[in-house]
Amino acid sequence: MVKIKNIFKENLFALILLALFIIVPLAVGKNADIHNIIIYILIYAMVGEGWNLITGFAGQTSFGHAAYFGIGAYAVAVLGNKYDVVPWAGMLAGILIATTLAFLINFQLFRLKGHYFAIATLAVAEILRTLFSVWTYVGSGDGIKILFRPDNKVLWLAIDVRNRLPFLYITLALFVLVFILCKSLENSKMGFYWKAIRESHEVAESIGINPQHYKVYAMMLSAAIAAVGGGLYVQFFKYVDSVVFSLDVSMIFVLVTVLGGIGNVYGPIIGSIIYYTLDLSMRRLFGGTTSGINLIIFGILLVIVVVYQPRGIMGIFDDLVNRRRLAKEKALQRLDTGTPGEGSGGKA
Amino acid sequence: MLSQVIINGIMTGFVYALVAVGLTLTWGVMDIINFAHGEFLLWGMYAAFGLWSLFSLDPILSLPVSAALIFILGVFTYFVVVKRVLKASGLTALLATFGLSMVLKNLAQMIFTANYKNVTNTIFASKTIKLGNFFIRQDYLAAAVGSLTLTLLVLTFINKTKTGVAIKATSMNRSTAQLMGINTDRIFAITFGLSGACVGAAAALMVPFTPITPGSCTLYSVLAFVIVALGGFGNITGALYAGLLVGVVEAMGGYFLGTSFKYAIIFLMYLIVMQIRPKGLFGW
Amino acid sequence: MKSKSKVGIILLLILALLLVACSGGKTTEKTEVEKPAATDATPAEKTDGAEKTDPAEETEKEPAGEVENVKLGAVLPLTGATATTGANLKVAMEVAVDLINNSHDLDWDIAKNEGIAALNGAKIELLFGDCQSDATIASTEAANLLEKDIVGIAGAYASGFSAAVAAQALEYNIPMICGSSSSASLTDGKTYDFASVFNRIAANDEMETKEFYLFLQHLNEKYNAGIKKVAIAYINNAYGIHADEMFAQYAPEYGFEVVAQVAYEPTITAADTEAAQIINANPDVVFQASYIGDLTMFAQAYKAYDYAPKMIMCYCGGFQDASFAEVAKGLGVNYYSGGQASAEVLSDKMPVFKYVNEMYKTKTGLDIDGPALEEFASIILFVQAMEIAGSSEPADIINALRNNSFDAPYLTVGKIEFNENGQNIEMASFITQLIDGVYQVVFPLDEYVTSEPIVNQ
Repeated sequence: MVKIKNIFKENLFALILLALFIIVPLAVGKNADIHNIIIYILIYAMVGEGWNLITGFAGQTSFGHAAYFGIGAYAVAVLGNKYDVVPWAGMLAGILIATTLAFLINFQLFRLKGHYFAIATLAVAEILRTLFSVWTYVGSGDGIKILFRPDNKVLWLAIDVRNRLPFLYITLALFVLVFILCKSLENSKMGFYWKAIRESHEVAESIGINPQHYKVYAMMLSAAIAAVGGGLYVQFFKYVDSVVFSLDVSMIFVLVTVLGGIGNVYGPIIGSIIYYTLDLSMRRLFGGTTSGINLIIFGILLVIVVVYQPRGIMGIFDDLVNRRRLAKEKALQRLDTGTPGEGSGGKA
Repeated sequence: MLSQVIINGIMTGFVYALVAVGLTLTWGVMDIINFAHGEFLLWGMYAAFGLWSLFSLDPILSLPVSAALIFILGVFTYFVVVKRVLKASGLTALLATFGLSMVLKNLAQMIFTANYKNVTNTIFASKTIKLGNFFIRQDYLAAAVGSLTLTLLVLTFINKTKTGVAIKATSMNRSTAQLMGINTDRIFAITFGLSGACVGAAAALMVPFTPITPGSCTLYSVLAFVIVALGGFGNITGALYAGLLVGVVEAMGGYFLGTSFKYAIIFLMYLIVMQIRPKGLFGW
Repeated sequence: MKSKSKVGIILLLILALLLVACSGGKTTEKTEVEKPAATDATPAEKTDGAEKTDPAEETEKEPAGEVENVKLGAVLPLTGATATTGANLKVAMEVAVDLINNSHDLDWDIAKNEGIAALNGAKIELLFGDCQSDATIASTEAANLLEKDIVGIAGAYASGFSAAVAAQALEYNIPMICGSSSSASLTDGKTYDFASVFNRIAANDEMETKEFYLFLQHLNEKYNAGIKKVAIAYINNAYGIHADEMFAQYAPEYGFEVVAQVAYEPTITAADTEAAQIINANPDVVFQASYIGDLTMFAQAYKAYDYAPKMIMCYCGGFQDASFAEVAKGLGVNYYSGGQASAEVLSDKMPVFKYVNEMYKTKTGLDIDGPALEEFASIILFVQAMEIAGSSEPADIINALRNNSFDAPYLTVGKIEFNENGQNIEMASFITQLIDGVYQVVFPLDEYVTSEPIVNQ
């Protein structure tokens, strides 16, 4: 009982978020606009979580996660379109291909450090973009689409557009799984090694870790998550073309995560919520004109948020929590020693 | 036609180099990825276009003005945006400049509309020099010569002037430079401005042969990323050579493998080169 | 200072969330209010003669209890890479709405009447969505409009965007009229599954290719042009790929030899290598499937390398953009031809077109171009279909669109008729040639030809 209570307390924030994600879609009624944006938020937050593993935890900046995202999307679309494979099986295939690719490529790429690595990931995605844009089998510049299957609603559930709720909750469920995975990874041995590698390669090696291996593990996990996101993305739009591999798409994962707070499991979801809510509200308030005023205001708001909160939105919460803990520790010390305001608490 | 293609590649390469030199200054020196770099180039083009359409000033002649304008934009960007996120991780600055790029791009659309603008009837427009079997486009040649000159100028500035040496010192070690009495704030502002001036000048050289629309600079900034990495971060000479290499590889790759592959081949070359020289062609 | 700014940010975010919540709330409210109103509006208001005798008042204030507006939606690329055209298309659609809703002194029922006659003079309300030149946003913007009780949707310029919108329209079973997308795959009946709701006005690239080859044959026969070898440069996207496919497919049938097919990335910064490959193959005629930016770069490169083919045939796209006329004029070349649904030189022959063009010109400063005229037509068609059906039910509009031939006095062919896959079987466009910076009609309808074609020798 105590244990459950503790879990509840420790994850209060996550549970509140989850409750919101369950209630809001119902509360707004049949409103495709809001449902769509919530699905957007969840898909990009999910891939952001994956990106956060490799960049936030293991410290290797990737500007090319669209590569794995795109592969996940194409796997579902190609298998569905050509062989009538249900999207769920397609997603599994996507995960497999993306993970294998991540293994093969990054085994080599991780010889590069820092920005050289970041640009290399971008290069991989760009090469894939070109390949998919000329490969006739996958529709070349036309892209590829999956068709609506009214005959088998359970397996092809996600394809139903008019009622977004089932798909929304499936996406939410998958996101929760990814979130739990990332959160437990963060506190695992693996997560500890990643952070060691992030801080210093040399130190990591000195405590007996092979940084190369653990970076590749991180990348493979990250690629798998990105592929799931891609699989959901293509079921949402029912269509994918080679634009999915572009830098613009890779940047979305970077942006939402950095906006929310890099290296924090809450970062991607918070960032994604803020990013897309701002985007949508600006579009609905000022959009539909030819001036692009909504994007100008959106850009300005982004700059303001970043300038005033450079560590991401989660930085605000961290500060609040820290301040409270500090105050608490101080209070405890005062009780313990009777000397107000001084002691080791301040140094910690 | 092959020699023709190579010559074009070299000339394009010089222009790429100048754009990349601008990027390598901020990226190498300050460790800041300026995502709005492409939009700086865009505004440079609109500046040149504006001067041409209002005062019928040839872009070549108005080059100093557009360079100066983007210099100011760079300094402004530094003080308003970049300076405030310097202490956070480099990706934060990326996010901030992404927001800025959105503002700049859409502001351009608001003011100039999305209609394509062409600067026509310039001094070198659609004139060619015939050398035996092949042609040299004068507008390209002017851009190439101008880019090379400016790149060398920037190089001299960095190596020979006091400010330039201070920029170099700051790039090596920010805190040591500060201890040695260098006003790093000022140095950063100048670096950002200089970076802007580079693209402002490049823009003026490019407008005679580049149709301008708010989306026209996206690819230039992606290519600049690759060129900067290929040449080694912060290495101006490296960026020059890497720019040339990219220009030639793009042209020849497109010619032999089919033009759909001309950009993919650049990225592939990057991956291969990096396997041999993990810190760039000229990095140690 | 620091804590203050943080509070500020939190407030800002809450504000943003509230805004969305509000906009969301508003849309749901609206739909709830309007649904019952729409159902009883048609018969009840019809007998009210007093209202009708005072037309001035009707135009002045939007009556609350009177005839319900009919809502149409349009998704267009108003920002982003293809915003150039998007903005102009929006104006063209607004011109159509103006013609429909207000009384104009023109011998054409649509313009003369105020509102939709068959629906008691109901007015059109056109809602716009900006797809930001992104197919995924096109999809969500379409969904947003479709939720607002629109009875038809138009757009979305690029073939990829149109497909995204049509897929949504199918889910809601709302008719879509696509003005200007040209990819043949949209109406081939097999690539997509939205044929039941989708209608496209523009000639597709298959029809256009055939017409181009007929034109070349015409040049060979009548002007002794001696055209044999043809080549194509095409942009690697849904638009270019199909143009290329059709180009290669029909060349042998019409007796031409394909000597080069050059694809290029949509993002190119220069077209010299591409142009070099074309020049190497030395065709008599070059086909271009290019947007305005790339077409300009090609034109400059051809000129710079002293290459002058007998003719350059442009699929709709960049060629139709008025700014290309200036480019060609600046380069001093007359060998660009291409498909167009509109040409200012036709004004004297077509009064309705002239009127539309003038309205458009006062708003944009430009003559109306092909895509704009086709998007204009899409809104007009919705109204014509409602006039015929006597209803604003989406299902009735779908039926009416499929089973009738529509009067189109603003097009040279004069009518529009859709086949079972939604393709307009009447050739909306004709061939124009840019001669001294003016689009002259050169083929195929003799009564509309304004100039002899000039073959570059």
